[in-house]
Amino acid sequence: MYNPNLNQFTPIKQYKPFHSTFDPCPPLKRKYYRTPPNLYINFQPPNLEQFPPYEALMKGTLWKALYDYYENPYKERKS
Amino acid sequence: MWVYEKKLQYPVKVSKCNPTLAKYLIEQYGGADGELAAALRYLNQRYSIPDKVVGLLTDIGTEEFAHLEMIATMIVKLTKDATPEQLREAGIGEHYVNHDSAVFYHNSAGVPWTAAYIQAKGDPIADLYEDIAAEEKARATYQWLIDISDDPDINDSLRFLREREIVHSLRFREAVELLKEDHDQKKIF
Repeated sequence: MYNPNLNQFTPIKQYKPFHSTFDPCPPLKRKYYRTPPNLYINFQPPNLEQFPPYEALMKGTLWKALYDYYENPYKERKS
Repeated sequence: MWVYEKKLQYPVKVSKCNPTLAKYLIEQYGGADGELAAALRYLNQRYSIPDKVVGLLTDIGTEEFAHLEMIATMIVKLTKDATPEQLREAGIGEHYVNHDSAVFYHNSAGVPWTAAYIQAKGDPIADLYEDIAAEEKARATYQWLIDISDDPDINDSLRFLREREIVHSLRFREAVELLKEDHDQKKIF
């Protein structure tokens, strides 16, 4: 989930929450939040690229620019 | 008037009997940012908003009912055939004693749905901004549900629902832009 390339756009944002030595749980290290594509489009311009109809039905949007796959960012950590 | 299609908007599959996941999912059924609140909010706001965005509220409000139906299907499938003992172990013994296996409009903590969750302010911008916030809050809820769920089939359907929140949010923002435009008005400088 960590994206070291700061020049490349990612809808997955992260920050490092403060962790005190007195906090009982092991540190989460990074906290993630999402900034999905709709936040960067004020009014959808015409003629954007589309998914084929069946794929669009399964993805939940016709528009490639609006598609944002989501996965649990904390999957790797077990404790 | 509505025309009903007797099928789900997106297939709902369930990997295993998991009443605990049903307890979490009911947040999107009868919770503050759930599909019932969304549908009722949008469909009610239609009566006090400029004509050019009424159709959008009708379309999205209607689709929210299709989502509500998907969530209900997930909950029913996850709890169907579970014994009272299994329900108790899953932490929904309280639901069982009040509702048996029926679904009900309350959130995952058992707080019943209330109209106080929604608003119709009568101001088009205030109402549309509430709608945008509602979509983002529902998107966040779907993310936390995907994070906490270990059922790949449920997550597949939840990802579809999350994507719809993103699309709806943009459409509401476009509605705000339409209402901000002034090209129909006479400009006097």
